[in-house]
Amino acid sequence: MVVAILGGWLVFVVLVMTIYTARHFVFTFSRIYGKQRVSFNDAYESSLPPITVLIPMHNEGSVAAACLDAILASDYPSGHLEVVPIDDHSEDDTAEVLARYAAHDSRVRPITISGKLRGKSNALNLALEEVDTEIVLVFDADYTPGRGLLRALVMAFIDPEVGAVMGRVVPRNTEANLLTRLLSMERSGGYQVDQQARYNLDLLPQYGGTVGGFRRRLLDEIGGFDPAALAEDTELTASIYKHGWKIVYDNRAECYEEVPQTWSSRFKQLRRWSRGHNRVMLRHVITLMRARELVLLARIDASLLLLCYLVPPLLISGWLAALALFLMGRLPFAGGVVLAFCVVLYNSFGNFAPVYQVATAEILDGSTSRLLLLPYLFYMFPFNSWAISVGFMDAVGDAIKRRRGDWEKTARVAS
Amino acid sequence: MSTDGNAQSRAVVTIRPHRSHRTLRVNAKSWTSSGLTVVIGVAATYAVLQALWPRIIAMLSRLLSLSGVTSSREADFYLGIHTRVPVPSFPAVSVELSLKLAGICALLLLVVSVLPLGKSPLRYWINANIFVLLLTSLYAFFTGTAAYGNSTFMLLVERTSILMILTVPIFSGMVSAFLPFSIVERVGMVVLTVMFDMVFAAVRIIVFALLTARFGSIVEANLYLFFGPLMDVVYFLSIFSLAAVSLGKRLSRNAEAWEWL
Repeated sequence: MVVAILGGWLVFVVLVMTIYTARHFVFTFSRIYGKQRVSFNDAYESSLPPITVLIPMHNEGSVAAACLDAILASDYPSGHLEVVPIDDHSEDDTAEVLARYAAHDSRVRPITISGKLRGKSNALNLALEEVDTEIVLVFDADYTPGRGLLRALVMAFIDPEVGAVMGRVVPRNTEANLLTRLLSMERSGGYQVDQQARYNLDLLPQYGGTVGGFRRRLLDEIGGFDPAALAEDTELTASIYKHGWKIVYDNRAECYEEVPQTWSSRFKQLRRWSRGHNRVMLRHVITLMRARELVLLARIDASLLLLCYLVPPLLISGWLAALALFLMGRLPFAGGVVLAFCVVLYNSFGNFAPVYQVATAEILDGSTSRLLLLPYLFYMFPFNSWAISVGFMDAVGDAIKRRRGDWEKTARVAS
Repeated sequence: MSTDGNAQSRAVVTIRPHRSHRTLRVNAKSWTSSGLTVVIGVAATYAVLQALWPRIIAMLSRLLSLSGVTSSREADFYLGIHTRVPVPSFPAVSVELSLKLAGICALLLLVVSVLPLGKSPLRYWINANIFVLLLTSLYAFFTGTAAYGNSTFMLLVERTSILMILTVPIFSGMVSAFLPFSIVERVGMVVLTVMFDMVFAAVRIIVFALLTARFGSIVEANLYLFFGPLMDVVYFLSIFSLAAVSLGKRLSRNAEAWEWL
């Protein structure tokens, strides 16, 4: 009985992993062979609407100036640009930096939040009450957009069905250490291949909460951000699709960010992402599976997207089942050559699929020697799995105890 | 005037579209060469394996005897390959040893958690190994047995090696088919992986035999689950990364190699 349950669970985990493996390969092949969809960013002469750029900040004194400098240096028409940095309970010199910029540039209009609630969702909701423009872009404080980025992102809203746009995130502190190099490779795979392929295949590109924007009307329609959300971007992505809007991914709209430079801050970041993402999953996965606004393939991909932070805990459970069967001497090794061959192929292709996606992205990005780091992605595997699994347990705990959960900010080094 | 014109046209030629607009060109020739590499690779590997594998296994048995380990040889016939696998004598799992080992593992987990390793992935690999050893010890303590008997385990390791060696040409051929590798890179990837796989498989069999002869079946789970087929993926990745660097360098030198939207 025990052996049957463990064996059944193991088969289930392998099936789920096979689906994700196939998804990795489909996305990679779409990026290599498929017809690539491009956004409207070449429609350069189109008239540009007024926009507001929101920048939530909590103790961002070390990076705020660089972000504001980059946004204010944009080629977006000056009269149509308003920049709203949101000082969310900062205890460092963020307020002074913002005051300095507001005094010198009329486009900068800082907001200070000092109420009881803290966190990005709450900050965005409060800022949106004071925003008049239909198009709102959002950047995190450690991001430095290039001159043409705002224009490129706004162009996506030429299509009236587009509710949100997402650009590509490129780490700028790549050369700091091994971790930043590996994270840069992960980002490359995530945007250059994954997001672009989802856009190519008319599936669901994800709004990432920064280097992107949305229509004000859309937020009014869905009732703003959930103040308790730890992954307001995933929450918004799910809501956008449930309400029948589209998200455009613009692979050419690149913005530079600072990725974590220590394993400890990366662990916290992954854990928070997993916790927030899994909370959204628990809340939206069923309704998104049933969403009539989406075609069947899009619904399947939406489910896989929402379930992706469930995969590492699932994998760990499958691995424990395999260990138990091994200790009992009951792992079905002797199931014949065909079964053994399938297991070996699964082991090879299953483990290789995400790395293949990253390798393809890096080759498209023009990388050379950095490709030697590919095996290190495998080295990160238990680290990532554990951080995500802990985040999943947090999310389950939140659901059971009806906890709100505190926002833990990623440490900056001002690279 | 003409010099300026040439300079200008050269400048225009060097302007490349943005990287977001790149795709890769893989033609029928690539598919054919990959397909041929797989077919020839598997056939050649199988032929080499049939000729060499029994000798390699015989050599490993001699090495095991030379190291002073008492072992027998178990005849095996798998996928048309005859071998006589060395099977070391295992010490029986003792309840006392299991309990001691469980205690040591629990202590080690504590020590690793306070060592200044930060949260680096290395710590998670170490912890995972200790954790598996801890579970195995506890399992052995409660049941008086753990995992597989000596001949079953050695046959499992040897058969997995044969299967991996034969799967590698298929795997690397299929993987290389979808990227614009040169024929040399495709063939090189298959040859290097098979060679490395054979050497590594031989080393693995002798190391596993020595360790199980010393510690018994209590280390089997660690050996097989961490240093078994999982390791094959790691060195395949390393060889793939070498080929990918070569491809990346070639593409960066030759703008015409790219396909643009």
